[in-house]
This record gives sequence, structure tokens and C-alpha cells, in this order.
Amino acid sequence: MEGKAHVYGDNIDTDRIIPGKYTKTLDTASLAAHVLEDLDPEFRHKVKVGDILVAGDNFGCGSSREQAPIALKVAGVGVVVARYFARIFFRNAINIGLPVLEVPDHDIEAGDPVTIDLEKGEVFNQRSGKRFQATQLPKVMIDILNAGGLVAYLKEHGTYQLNEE
Amino acid sequence: MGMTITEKIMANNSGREKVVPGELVWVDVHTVMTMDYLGKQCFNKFRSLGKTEVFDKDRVICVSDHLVPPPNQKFATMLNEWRAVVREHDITHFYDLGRQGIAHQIMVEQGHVLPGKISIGTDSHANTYGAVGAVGNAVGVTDAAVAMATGKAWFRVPEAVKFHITGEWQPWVMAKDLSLHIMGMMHWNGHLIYKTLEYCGPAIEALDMAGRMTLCNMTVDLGAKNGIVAPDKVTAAYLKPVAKGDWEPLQSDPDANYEAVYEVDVSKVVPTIAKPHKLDDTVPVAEIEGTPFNKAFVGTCTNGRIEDLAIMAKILEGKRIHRDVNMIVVPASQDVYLQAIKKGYLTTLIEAGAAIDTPSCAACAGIHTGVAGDGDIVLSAGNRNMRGRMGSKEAEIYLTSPAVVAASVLTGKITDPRNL
Repeated sequence: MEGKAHVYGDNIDTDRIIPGKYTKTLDTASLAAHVLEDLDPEFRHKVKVGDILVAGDNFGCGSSREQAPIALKVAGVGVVVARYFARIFFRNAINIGLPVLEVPDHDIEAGDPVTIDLEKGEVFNQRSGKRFQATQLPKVMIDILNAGGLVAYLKEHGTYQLNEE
Repeated sequence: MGMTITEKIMANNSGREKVVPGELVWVDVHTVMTMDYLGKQCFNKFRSLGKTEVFDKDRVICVSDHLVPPPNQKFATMLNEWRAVVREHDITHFYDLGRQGIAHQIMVEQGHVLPGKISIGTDSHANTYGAVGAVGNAVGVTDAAVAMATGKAWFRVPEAVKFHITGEWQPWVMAKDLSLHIMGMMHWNGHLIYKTLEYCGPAIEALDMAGRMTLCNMTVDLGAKNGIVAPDKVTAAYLKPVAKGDWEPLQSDPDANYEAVYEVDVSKVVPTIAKPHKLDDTVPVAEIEGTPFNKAFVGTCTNGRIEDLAIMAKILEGKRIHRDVNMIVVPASQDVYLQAIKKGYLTTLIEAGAAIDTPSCAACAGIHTGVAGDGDIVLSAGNRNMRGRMGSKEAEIYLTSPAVVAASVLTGKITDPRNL
């Protein structure tokens, strides 16, 4: 996966990812029009399919709303990189098929072209030529992500066993 | 090495002898809860799995709490769609308007969560279920839909952190004060993310179920995965008339592994308050006594129980709320509401000048029933005080215990109940 980095700070909560007032809807495509609007009103115009959202600590804290990762995904975000994620956001992202990588240390700046290897848990900054290691995702999570989310994974596999069993 | 209670629950419910932190497990879910404003999405996603029948009609619990009674046509229509989908799936336990309550209160008081089992809900305060010794977890729509179809969910086994609470509870100090005290002690810096928080020790054993629910309820706001109190005599007595199913008592092993152990002497915990707009910005109430406010709110899954209404009635008995303060009290469920009527608490509160509203999440969800407007300074016994939480972003929210709210509404200024 490859895309341009959009860099933001710490503690970005689910209300800033997608304000609650837009979430009382079943039309998920409509969420893209308001993604990150309180944080950066220009984001939705700048983001290209496959781009990489880079944040600091505790990304996705706040409510349990699954529309937060969905809004990012439908807006085109390919991967979210953060130092660490709020736990409900993390599991919701995996469940809806939005790759999330915990990268404790990196030199990514806004606009940097970045390559991501999900299997290896590796983040490569093309500008600086440096590689950074992410916390390795278990294989089953990568499989869920590759399938496009938990619903698609279950339809494909029809089973609830973990791979390593 | 032994296991913590959460590890045992995850092992027992995934057919394993042993689990270790970091491991991923598919667990059997005892109950799945969803509510009015997300429930239809859950059922839609459930249908997208090609399923028409839920895994167990008695163990998918549906509750109307965020949108009832509907304040506008949009929500009224959403509620109608929600009712239709719940009835279509022939769900046994549907707590709709008239039988309603805040979902987390309903799950515990109606016996849908049991010690040693795992229950999930599509709302962040599902951690409340830890009060009875269950693993209670907040999940998204996909998790709920998958569990509705299969009775299973995936979990990462969490590392454990122990809070060992000793000492004697002081007069007018409530579980909420301990919760806010811990919030201030830990500060929000992410080191409790993904963790299980185990509350134990003599001061926890001395706590009633209402207090245990308050404590576990706010675990999510520390960033943790779940909070849990091991079941004991208090739990057994509470569950006896309501438990829907059998359960076995479980405890952590003495040689279980904890990433950290924190000791708190509750006799040193005083009435505590979180200042706007951060939960971990807590101080003893005494430090900001005299701060004026104009609205008071007691209710929510954190502090809308009969014990909370009882302590307020005790403080407000025969007194009048300050003329510049508007107070709304919302019991956490119809059961709580009825008990409060029978015990005379609501008479006391109304005579004091409080407004009572029908059970719902109310203004805590920022949706209806006394939302905050520009310039409001709200003294709330709810669970969150971030900007805009109760409505206007131009409002300020102080979070504290029902006892502090009751003491303060008499003077119109933040007041330590010990000084009454």
C-alpha cells in the first residue's frame, strides 16, 4: 500500500473524526462529506484514495461509534498510523476493514509519500528513505483486513476459529 | 502462574484451559445488547451475513434509551423503524418506552449479565457489567451483528492492572468520588488502554452493587478494556431474584500476574469533582467551593440508581433548591423510578424544586431532556464533561457525585456535603 501522508496530533476523538450529528443515518457514503471537518475542513478535499492518515497518541478515543473508521474508509483513507489507538476504534477499524498500525516512532511529515507493508508491519518513508517497525498485527487480523472486514471474512471462511488453532 | 478473573472468564468461554495476555480468542458471548439509535444498523449488518434468526432470542437484549421519548419527528420515525426490526426478529427482551431504562442499568438490574460470563453492548459504558463479575465490553455495530448471528466475538486477552482499595468510606463520600479520584490519580496518558482493571480489597467488598456499577461504568473513560469486581455475597444477594441463568463464582488466583498494582486508602478520598472540560482534571470539592452554576443534572448509567436518589433525598428533605438553579433528575430505569416513588424520594425532590423526567440517557447524550445551552454551567452526576457533551460547546460541565450535586443546589454554588 502506498499513499501520501496527512499528519495530525494526539487524542483525536470520534467526534472530530465524524461529528455525532451526522451519524444518525444508515447512508455510510454520506459520512465522507463530513470526515474530520472540525479538525481540518480541507481534509475531505485533499484526501486521495489510498492516502495515509498519521496521528499521535490515543487516536479514535470517545464514543464506540463504528462510523468513525467507516467515515475514514469511505473518504479514501487507506491506512491509519498512530502511536496508539483507543481500543474501541482499533477493533471497529479491523472489523470494517480499515488497516490500523501502531508505530511508536517515525519521521513522517505532511505530504510525505509512504509505503506500508501490512504483513511485515513495516512503514517506509520514501522521502527520508527510512523504515519504521509497527506493532505486528496477528495473522487473523491481517486476514480480516484483507477480506475487507469481519463480515466479509466470516462470509468467506464461514468459521470462527483462529488460524493458529 | 495463576490467572486473573478476566483471563479465567476468557479461557472458560473459549473452551481453553489457559489464556495469556496478548492472545486473540473467539469467545462465547452470554448476552448482546443494542439500543434504539444503533440497533437497526446491527440488524441490517446481521442480515448481510445471510442470517434471519439470531443465535438466541433470549440473549439478544434490545433497549430504547437514547431517543425515548422522541423529542422530534426524526427520532420518532427512527424509533418506529427500530421497533419494527426488533419485533420482526421476535426478540424476547425488548425494553421499550414504558418498560425502558438506560441499557446498562437494565442489563444488570434485569439479570442479563452474570458472573463469569461475557456480555457486549453497542455503547461505550458496557463496562458497567463488570460490577457483577462479568466481562462487560463495548463494541461496534459489526461485533454486535456477528455476535447476534453466531453468539461469538473476538477479543484480545488484556493485561491486568489491580486497584486494591482499603480503609473506611467516609460520610458523604461515594463510589463516584473514588472513581474521579482514580481518574485524577492515573491521568489520561494511555497507559491503561487495552487493560483489564480489577477493583478489589476491603473497601470494594464494603461497596453495594450501585457503587460497584458506578466504578466499573467509568472504566472506559480511563481507556481500559473492562473493569471488574469479583463476585461475593453482595453480588449473590443482588442477583438471586433477577439472574437469568446459572453462574459460578470466580476469583483471581493469588499468583496471577498484574502489570501494576495501585493501592488506594478510601478513608483519604474526599468528595471530588472534575472541572470542565476534562475528566482527569479532578480536585477535592473543597478546593473550588463557592463556584456558581445554574443547572444541575442527576441521572445516567453512572449515577441514576435508587441509592443515588436516596442520598439526594436525605440532603434535600424539607429544603428548597436555590432559586437560580434548575435541576433535572432522571431515574436510570422504570424500576428505579417506581422504587423512588414508593420510597417517597421523588416527593422530597419535587418539594425541594427538582424536575423529574422519564428514564432515558437524557442530557448526558446531548440529545434531549435538558440539554445545555450557550453559557450554561452544569453540575452533573454523569460520566463525561468534554466540550459539547451535553449540548452546547459554549457550556461548562462539572462532574461529581449525587451527594455533591444535592448539597450544591441548596446554595447555588459548588458545596462540599460535609459542610452542610
